[in-house]
Amino acid sequence: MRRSIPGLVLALTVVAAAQAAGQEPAQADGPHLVASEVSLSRNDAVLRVELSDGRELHWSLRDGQAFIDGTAVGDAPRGSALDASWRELLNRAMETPAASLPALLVDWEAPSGNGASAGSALDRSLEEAFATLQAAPVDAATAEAQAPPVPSAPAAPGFSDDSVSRLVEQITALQSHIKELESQAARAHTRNDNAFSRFFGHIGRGIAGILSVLVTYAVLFGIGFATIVLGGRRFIEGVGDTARHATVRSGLVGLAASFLVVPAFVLGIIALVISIIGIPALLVFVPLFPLAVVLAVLLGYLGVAHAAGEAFAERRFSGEEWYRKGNSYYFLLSGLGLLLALFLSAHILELTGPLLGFLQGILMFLGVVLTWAVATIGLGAVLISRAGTRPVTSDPFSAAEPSMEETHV
Amino acid sequence: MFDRRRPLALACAVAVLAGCGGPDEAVASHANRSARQDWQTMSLSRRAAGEERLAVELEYGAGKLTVAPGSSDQLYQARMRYDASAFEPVTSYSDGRLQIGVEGGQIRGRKLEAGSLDLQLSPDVALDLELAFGAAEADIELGGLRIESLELSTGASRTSLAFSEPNPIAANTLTLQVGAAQLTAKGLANANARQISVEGGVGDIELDFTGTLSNDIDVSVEMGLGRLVLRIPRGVGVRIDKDGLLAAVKGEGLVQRGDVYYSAEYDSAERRLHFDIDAAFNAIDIVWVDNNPAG
Repeated sequence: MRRSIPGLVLALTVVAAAQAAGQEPAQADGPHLVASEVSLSRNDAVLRVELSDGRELHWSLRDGQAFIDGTAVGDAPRGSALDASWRELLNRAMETPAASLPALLVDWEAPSGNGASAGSALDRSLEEAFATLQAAPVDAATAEAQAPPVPSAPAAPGFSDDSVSRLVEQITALQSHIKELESQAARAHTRNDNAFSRFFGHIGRGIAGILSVLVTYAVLFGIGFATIVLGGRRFIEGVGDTARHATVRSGLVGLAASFLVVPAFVLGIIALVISIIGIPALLVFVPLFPLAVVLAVLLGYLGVAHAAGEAFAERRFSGEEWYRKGNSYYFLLSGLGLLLALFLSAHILELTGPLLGFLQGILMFLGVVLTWAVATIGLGAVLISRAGTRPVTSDPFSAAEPSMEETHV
Repeated sequence: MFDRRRPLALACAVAVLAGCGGPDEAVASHANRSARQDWQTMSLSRRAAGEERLAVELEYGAGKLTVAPGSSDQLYQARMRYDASAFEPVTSYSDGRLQIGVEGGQIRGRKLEAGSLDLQLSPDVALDLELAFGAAEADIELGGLRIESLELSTGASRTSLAFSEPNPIAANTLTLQVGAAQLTAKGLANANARQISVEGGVGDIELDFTGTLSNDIDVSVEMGLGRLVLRIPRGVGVRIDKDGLLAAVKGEGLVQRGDVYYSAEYDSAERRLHFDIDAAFNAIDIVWVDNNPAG
């Protein structure tokens, strides 16, 4: 490789200055290189540096041209000697700390041949830029340890610069290929991880969903059980009977009530405020109204569950078995099971993975629709039957005597 | 939100590959895809200039991530390799705050993987690290670095975190949030933290507390489904408060009092680890190991 004497002198000057500065860091008051960025791709080979005085300089080969600080300075075709030499320089620059970078850059000589004028411009620009810089304040040991790689040995006789450049280019291409293979292996690992996490994610969500349904089932049955034990059987049965025998009417009333509940709440507050004497009643009305609505919906849901369980038992049992199992606890237990079966099925399907996801979605949707319908009908039945005290039944006599306590086992 | 199209697409792709060709075709197809990608290598470094602290925000989608101590004269040094047709590099430094990583990764419904990111940090400045990465294979070595705080959050990743040398300064917070992931954290005693918080979704988490334990540590662990392994040096007092559903604690030499487990020498131990574990469907294994102060 030919080397110009001024370039060599500049390189030696920079290296010597770097060593001197390592011994006396206080000398580094002038501008020096603080940061560097090297970017290499198929089309670009860019070097950017940031100086301590705030200046930013960049040199690049891009789309077959050479640029200095954004200004085109000549042609640098891809694959030319200049392109190969510049990329080799930047590859070495990537491994070189910022402190040692000026020496490496000043030491670079543009090759002759295709793109020689652009190469000379880059060479001159680098030398001008870095010759004026203070050397990096690094100590001698660090500088020695972090010195840039020793330049490759001069080409053997018979090898032209162009041959060396082509060889370097091929080595670069091989290195790139090896890196791509390594990247493929990394991607294969990542894919395995994704499959693993997706698989266990479904199982985790499925189990959590099943548990949530079972807990909901237990809580609802617990409330219903307590209500029956504490003497509220007739209310649940009254609401259930009304829901069974006046289903459409209950649904319409419940729908209307669900739309009117918020306006009724607001109007109630306004009326109490306007009446002035009713203002103290707000303390009771504001918390109790929403509570009453929630209790009405809950009672309605339990009543419809009771009715569903009763209807299920009527179809399933007869004779002696009906006498053994025909009680409110069983109706509630089986009715709640029927109402929550869609959710449970959806979560069980979730365990099987994503392929049945669409079926799971349909079941979940149907479960939500069913729950909404049950809550609406139940609310309507609560209102119509006045919380189960005046149930609507097909037997006019049973409505007249609604308060007969049964003694189911 | 779960994308249900992806497994279907994957199944279709597998079926097509199985029906249309063997490994050679698959390799050729992959080679073609690689050829379409525009691989770019970027290297950046900044000299240390008397900075006392550095805040690092790293966001990395997919690929191989390495974080390690660098040389004293460099504030940071990084090298990235990424597909420029799919990813945008993020590199900025201002007022002691470094943002680095890649963004993107989705082109016309085709998800591509990134290459690699190798970050080296100065051991001489106090570091606030926020590391977030997705489907990455991460190797994070923080031994000897001056870690003031660490927030590590991962997606479906395989992460190896290590403190092979003691942290010279006390760490304020050490938070590890892992999604569906495998996390191995070694030498946590060297982290010099009083509190460590671990939140895990699904996967395996291994926490190794070897190293130089200079103070007691409170460790909070919240986990979903998976396995938690606690590797604890012999002689260190351990108390485990367990809360959760179907989470079993297995380990030799533990005495159970209610939901609290104590190591035999807890009262007389010079240093103690307190674990507050909230887990569901977990196997919690306590493994006693010989301590190696170097981690």
